[in-house]
Amino acid sequence: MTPTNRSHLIATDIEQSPQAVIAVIGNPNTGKSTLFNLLTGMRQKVANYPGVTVEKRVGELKIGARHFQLIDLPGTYSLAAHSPDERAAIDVLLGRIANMPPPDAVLVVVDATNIKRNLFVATEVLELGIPVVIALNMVDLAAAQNIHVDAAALAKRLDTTVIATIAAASGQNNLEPLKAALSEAVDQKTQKPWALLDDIKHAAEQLADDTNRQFTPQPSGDGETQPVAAYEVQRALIDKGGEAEKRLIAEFGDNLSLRLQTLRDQLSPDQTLAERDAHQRYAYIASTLDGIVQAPSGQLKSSWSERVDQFVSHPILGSLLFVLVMATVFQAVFSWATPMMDLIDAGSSWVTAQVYTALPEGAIASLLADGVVAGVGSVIIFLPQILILFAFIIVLEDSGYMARAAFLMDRSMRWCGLSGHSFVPMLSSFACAVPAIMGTRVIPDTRDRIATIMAAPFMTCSARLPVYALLIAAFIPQQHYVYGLINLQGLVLLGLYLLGIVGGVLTAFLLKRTVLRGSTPTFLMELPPYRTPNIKSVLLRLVERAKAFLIRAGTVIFFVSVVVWSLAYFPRSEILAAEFERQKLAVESSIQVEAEREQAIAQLDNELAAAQMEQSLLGRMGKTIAPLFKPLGWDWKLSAAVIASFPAREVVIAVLGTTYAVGADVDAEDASLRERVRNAAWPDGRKVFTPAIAVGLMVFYALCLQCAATVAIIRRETNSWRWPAFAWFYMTGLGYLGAYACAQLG
Amino acid sequence: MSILQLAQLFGFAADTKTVKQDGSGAEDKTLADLKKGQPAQVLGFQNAEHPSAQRLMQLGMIKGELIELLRSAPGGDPIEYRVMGYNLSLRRAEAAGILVEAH
Repeated sequence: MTPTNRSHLIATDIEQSPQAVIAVIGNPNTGKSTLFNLLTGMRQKVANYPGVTVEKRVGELKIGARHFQLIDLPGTYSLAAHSPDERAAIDVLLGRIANMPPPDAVLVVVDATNIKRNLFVATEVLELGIPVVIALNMVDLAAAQNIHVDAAALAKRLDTTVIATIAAASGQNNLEPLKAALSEAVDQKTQKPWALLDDIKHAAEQLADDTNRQFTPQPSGDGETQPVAAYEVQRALIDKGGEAEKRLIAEFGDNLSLRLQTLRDQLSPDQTLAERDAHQRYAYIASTLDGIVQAPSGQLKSSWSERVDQFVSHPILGSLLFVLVMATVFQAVFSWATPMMDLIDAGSSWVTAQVYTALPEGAIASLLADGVVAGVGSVIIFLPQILILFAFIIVLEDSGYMARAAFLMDRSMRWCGLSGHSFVPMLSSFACAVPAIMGTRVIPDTRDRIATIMAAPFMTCSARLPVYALLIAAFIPQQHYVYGLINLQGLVLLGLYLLGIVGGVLTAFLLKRTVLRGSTPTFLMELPPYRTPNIKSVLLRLVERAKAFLIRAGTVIFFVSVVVWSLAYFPRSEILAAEFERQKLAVESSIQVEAEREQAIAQLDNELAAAQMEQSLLGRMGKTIAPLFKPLGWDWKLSAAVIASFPAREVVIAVLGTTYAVGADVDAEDASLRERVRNAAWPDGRKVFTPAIAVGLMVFYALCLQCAATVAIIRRETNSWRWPAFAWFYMTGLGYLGAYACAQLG
Repeated sequence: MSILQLAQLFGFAADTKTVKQDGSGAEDKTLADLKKGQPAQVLGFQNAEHPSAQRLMQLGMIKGELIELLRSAPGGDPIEYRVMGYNLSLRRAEAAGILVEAH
């Protein structure tokens, strides 16, 4: 295809040079993505398709001096689309995505161990008229199961190129023949006409022609005119009630819907057209494979994978193993990450100290140290947990275990409207919601995925723990019950964990029964054979996850951190600074003992910081907004600390440290902060923090969404600002109500 | 309330009265009624127009195909089947929408 004859499909501004495009398609679990990773290496870009949550993965393939653009389409069993997410594949193939020309060739990855089902989508792609190369993948694994496919004979019968490739995990890939075939296919420009169901194809072509003649194509949103593609009409005919039909009816009205139904009745009077299509396609595949595939007869019950499953998917033994696997993952994310996170923390403190020694005191030093360094630190602090959790998730997914976990857990997740796919992301959010939300990509159903994303931030993550630790230690008495076995402080912590679980589960439950209600709860899931993950592919995906987080979430967190820093820093009062300078001089001359003097000066510094904070924008905002928080029993200091902790909950401790004049470098175990907080009083002498107010504050932090990273990652994963905005207002509103209830009841 | 009724409530399964009986004597069941290790042949769907039915046909659940129940998850749901050389998991309510002839 030359750039001229497809120009009507390309949006006006072409970013890339007219580089040939190759789409990669295939069933899930065929090693498609691994093959894609091996072909493109690090030269990949990941984005979202417009309007849906499906990942658009584009990479560059170099063959000799030529550069091709490779597009990895989501794994699919057929080109039929019954949800907007499933439409991505067909939209790419028909060139309907803005700024993306239709592909010049399609690479169909076919699993040789299960060639019959895998050829279904291949025969559909062959009908598109785009040159096709079939990668007959995993021929080595097939051979190990005594399955032998004659690739040359298959190529001849399908009238296309078939290249045998071996499972990527074996590490000794020779991809040269595949690359040569791809290069040749691109030059070939068109595939020979190929139709399995001639009458359906002709009917679709006729209807498309009629429609295009009747309606002058209207410029669509992005300023291009798109005639109706015959294949889209064919899909609308076959997939009754599917996406293609919905879109055509939306564009051309109900009249078209009637014509589609009339055609369906003509083409297939005694069974549905989908049934006829599936039957004829599988009949064709069976006759094509006849004589060129040697496979052991029977159902292959004694395969290695099958024997493993007798244990792994066993209702009792399998469940025990699952608990063990999850305990390991949880343990790893929670505690293996801690040393690395401490190191990052120490590193950022060290850099902060260096900045203060290197630069003169003032706005620039503070911006660099408390704004920039702290901001960067608060972004990369998430990396250890993200990397560890994803290493597990990717390996569990690629090995085939994740499907078994979803199988075992499906029933336990179902009552709140979710499926087994949601279990692992939900559990991971007890460590941190950010990687958990990124992990919801394992959930195939969009509505389930969004419900899980909305529920995950409720789980008690590691950032809530320091807040709980401080407030519990300060306000919950050390009381023991049942011979010292039960501790009141522990009970409160347990209560907060349960509150998060109940909040999350109820949220999923309510969403799935209202805005995210689906037509039918389905759980069609392939349980793929167990396979060894490819190390290189796992590492590439890890790097990609980390990059996605740093770019999308990192920029938001960084921006918010700098904004909060400016609010807390400006304006500076010179009068206050001069006043404290005078007091310092007075202290220096009056106190003789060095230790005492230093302590007094440090105390003055802390009090200066507190005074500056009080008259800073943040302090003023705290005072302005305090009436709103009055019903919760919060004073302006607490209100300011809550505002400042928008980027991250745990920041509340440092801000409380500053406002209560004990210095910002406090941690949750700090006794002086605990003391100050306990003694904080209203102007009339009443204590600010009664146990009820403290519990209310903890309930607030249990329920609210004070975490810029989570907000940013919800934006990235749902591909819109609607869901993160909803999550923030909903959760913060719940937090407010919870804290209000505590204040009123206490 | 039976699982089939439940499935009908969710719109998955059509009314059972529309199921054709060919009088061949072989026992017509749904996939949900199969016992472990009992081979069966797919006959069709209660509601062939349902999107899930369309999807299942593309996955190889077509008339005449052999199918076998391998195991079920804790609580008997979902259920794992072997069809066309691979393993597929279905919820019981979905399986109840697929008609089979047990051998």
